[in-house]
Amino acid sequence: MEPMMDPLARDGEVVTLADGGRVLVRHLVASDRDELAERYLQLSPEARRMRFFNAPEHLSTRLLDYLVDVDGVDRCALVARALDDGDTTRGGTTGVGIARYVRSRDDPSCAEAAVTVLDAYQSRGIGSALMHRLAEQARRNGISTFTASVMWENRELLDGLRALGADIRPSEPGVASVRIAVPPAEADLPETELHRVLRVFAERVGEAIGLHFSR
Amino acid sequence: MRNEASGPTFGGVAADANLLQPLGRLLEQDRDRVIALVRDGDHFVDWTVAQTADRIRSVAKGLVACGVEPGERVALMCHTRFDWVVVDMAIMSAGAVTVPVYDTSSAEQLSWILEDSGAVVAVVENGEMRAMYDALDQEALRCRQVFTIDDGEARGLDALAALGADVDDGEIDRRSAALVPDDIATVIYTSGTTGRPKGCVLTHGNLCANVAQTVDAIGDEIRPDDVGLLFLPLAHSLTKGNLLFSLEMGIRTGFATDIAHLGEELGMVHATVIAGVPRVFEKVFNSAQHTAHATRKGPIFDRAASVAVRWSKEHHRGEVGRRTALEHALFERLVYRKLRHALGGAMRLAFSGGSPLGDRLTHFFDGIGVRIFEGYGLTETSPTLTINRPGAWRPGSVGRPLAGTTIRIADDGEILAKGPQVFVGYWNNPEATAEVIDGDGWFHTGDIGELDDDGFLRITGRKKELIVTAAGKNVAPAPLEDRLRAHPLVSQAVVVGDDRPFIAALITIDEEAFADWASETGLTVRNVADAIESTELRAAVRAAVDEANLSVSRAESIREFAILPHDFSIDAEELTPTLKVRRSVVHRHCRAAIDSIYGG
Repeated sequence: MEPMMDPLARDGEVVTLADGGRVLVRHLVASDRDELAERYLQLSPEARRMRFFNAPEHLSTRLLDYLVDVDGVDRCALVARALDDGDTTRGGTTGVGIARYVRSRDDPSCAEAAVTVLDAYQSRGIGSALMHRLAEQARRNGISTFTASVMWENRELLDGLRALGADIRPSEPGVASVRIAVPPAEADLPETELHRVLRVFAERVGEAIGLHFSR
Repeated sequence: MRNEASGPTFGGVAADANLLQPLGRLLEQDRDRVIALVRDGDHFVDWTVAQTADRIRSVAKGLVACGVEPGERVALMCHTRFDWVVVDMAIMSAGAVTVPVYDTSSAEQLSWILEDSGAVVAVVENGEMRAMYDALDQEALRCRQVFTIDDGEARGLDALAALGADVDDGEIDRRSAALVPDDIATVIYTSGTTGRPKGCVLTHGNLCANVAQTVDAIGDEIRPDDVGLLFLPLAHSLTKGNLLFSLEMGIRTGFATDIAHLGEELGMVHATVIAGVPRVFEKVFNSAQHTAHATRKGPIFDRAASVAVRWSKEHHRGEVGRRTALEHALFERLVYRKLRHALGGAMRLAFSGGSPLGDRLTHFFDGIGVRIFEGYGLTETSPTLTINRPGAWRPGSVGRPLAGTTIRIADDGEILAKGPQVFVGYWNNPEATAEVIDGDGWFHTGDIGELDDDGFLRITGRKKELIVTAAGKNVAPAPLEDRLRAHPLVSQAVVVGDDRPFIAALITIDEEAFADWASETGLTVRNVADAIESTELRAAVRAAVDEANLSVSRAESIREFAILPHDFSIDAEELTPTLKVRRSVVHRHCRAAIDSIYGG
C-alpha cells in the first residue's frame, strides 16, 4: 500500500452528489463493525438476494469478522457516509453504502467486486462514487480486472456491462459470471467513457438491485 | 456452432382450426374406433370415438346449464384420468377455457389460480380437494359453482351431465364450430423464480400448430395399432401435448391409475408409446439394475447394459462391429427381452422432455429396442420447440427445430424461439409478458444452450434460478430458502433437486443461536457438528421445513433435509470472496449428504 498517495488516506474524501447532497467516502475501519451489522438488517430482501444470492437473515459474528478484515490492498472496502441527512446517532453521519473488492487467490491481477447501497439512498450516485474510488484503489494495487457474479434477473445491469465490453458467461442456474477491465487512471481516459464505466458498474454490479442509472 | 436454426416450412393451421376437430373428424370417419382405455377393476374398458364424444357433449351441456359462457374460465383440479380429458374437451365444447390445477397443489396455489384466472366454475376430483376448496376465502373468487367428480357414492361426471339434460345439442354445435385459432384454449399456471404462479395463455391455434408440427416430425413413426399410456399429470403441458398428438393420430390412449401400477398397466394395455420425463427412464434402469444385483446377476446386467450402449452408438454410426452384434444378440435373449417385458412387452417408442436425459440412457434404451425421442420446450411453447426424430437423432441433444420454428442463441447464450406454438402472453400480466417476448417477437426461454453445425440444440444451463426435478417439475428455490432462513436456528439453506425425484434441503445452523437453543433445550453438546443427528435439532429444523412447505404443492415441497456440520465458508469456496453462495460448490461438497437423501 502507498498511504502517502492514497487520496482516501486518513480522513477520506467528501464527494458532492448530483443532487447536491454530500457523502464522505473512506476506508472501512474495525469500529464500523456494529453499524455494518445494523445496516444489513435495513436492506430490503430483494437487495440482499441480489448481493448475497442466498442471503442470511443477519450477519453472523463469523461473517462480520470476515467483512471487517480488510487491508486496503488485497481486501479493500470503502464506505460512504451521508453528511447532510440520515440519523445523527453516530457522530452526525449515517453509513449508507459500501463497496469492496477481494483479490483472487488464483490470479492476483483479478479481484471480485461488489457494492451495496441502502435502498432509501439508491439512485443518487452513491454506488457510482464508491465504485469510482474502489477502481482507483484496485488500480493502485495492481488489479486490472474486476469479476462479479450477477443474477440474470438483473437484466439492465448485464445489458449495460455488455455494452461496455464486459465478458458475460453463464455460470450456475440463475447466475452470470462477469469480467470487466478496471479502467486505467482517470487522466488516460476520456472523462465521459470513464464515467459511463463507473456509473454502470456502480449502479448495477452485484449488490445494487433496484438502482437506476443516475443522471 | 451456429447461432440460428430453423425447421422446415410450416403450412400453418386452417382458419377455422380448433382442438375439437380431430375427434369430430374421427366421429365422421370411424365412430366405432376405440380411442381410450379406462381401468375398471382388473381390466381396461374400451371407449369408442362415439361413446367418448357423447360423454363430452353431455358434460358440456351440464356446463352450459351452469351458465358457463364462451371465453369464461373453468378450473379443473384432477389427477390424470379419462374424466380429465372429458372435462377438458367439454369445457372447450362449451366455448370456454380450461385452467388445469395440479392435484397436488396447495390451498394457497389453488386460491391464487382461481382468483387470478377468474374461473367461474371449478371441477375437482374428490372430497379432499372439495374440502380444500370449501375452506378458501370465497369472497376473493368469482367461482359460482363447484363439482366433485368422485362425490361419495357417485363416481364420475353423471351429476354434471344430468344438469344439462335440457340443453339443446345445437348450442354445443354452435359454440364448438365458432372456435377459431385465436380463441384461448387453456391457461396453464407455471411458477417463476419469485412471486406467484403466472398463467400461460395458449390458444387453439398454438396447440393445433404444435400438434401439426409434431406430426410432421414424427407422425410417420406411429402405426394405427399403437397404444399410448398416460401417467404423468395432464396439468403438465408435455402430457397434454402427448394426448393431443395421440388424438390427432387416432391411436388408443390408456390412462394409468397411478405410478405405482405403471408396470402392471403397461402390460395390460400393451403400451407401445409413452411420453415420460427422465426420471421414468432412470427408474426403469435403476430398478432393473438393482434387481439384477440383488439376485447375483449384477455382472451380467452391467455387461448387457454396456453392450446395449455400444451397439446403439455403432448402429447409429451405421457400422455395428461383429463382436458387438454377437454380444447384442446374446443379451437380447438373456436380458433385453426381459427388460422389455417389464415395460409391458410391446414398448418401442418413447418421448422424453421436461429435463435433460443423458445420452447414455438414450443409447441404453435404444440398445434394448426402445427408441427415445428427446425434445425440448416449455409450457409457454405449447410445449414442443425441438425434437429428435428418425433420421435426425442425436442423443445428448434435444433435436432440431420443428417445422415453422426458429431457434436463436442470443449473445449471452440464452435460447430464443419463434414459431406458431409460442404463446400470446401471461394472463393479466403484460409486464411479465414483456419480460419474455422482446420487441422483435423472440420468446426468451430462460435456458442456455448451443446449436451445433447441423442445427441440433443442446441445453447447457439456465438463466432462471430454478430447479427442474427429474419429474419435470419446476421449483423456485429462493422463496423456499427464504422461509427456511426465517427460523432462528437456520443460518443457510440450499434447496436441491435438479434431476432428482423430489426436492430436499441442505441446512446450516446458526452457531450463535445454536448455543442459546442448546442450553435452553438442556442439550449437553457444545457444537453443531455433534448435534446434527440429534432428535431435538432435527425436530426444530423439521418445524422450519414444515412451515416453508405451506406455500407450495406436494410436488414442490421439501421431503427430506440434511443438517450440515459447518456453515458455508470462503476457504472451502462455497462462498465467493464477496460472500455470494456458490450452489454448484455446495452441491459438490455435500454430495454424500445429497446421495444419502436420495438413497445412494
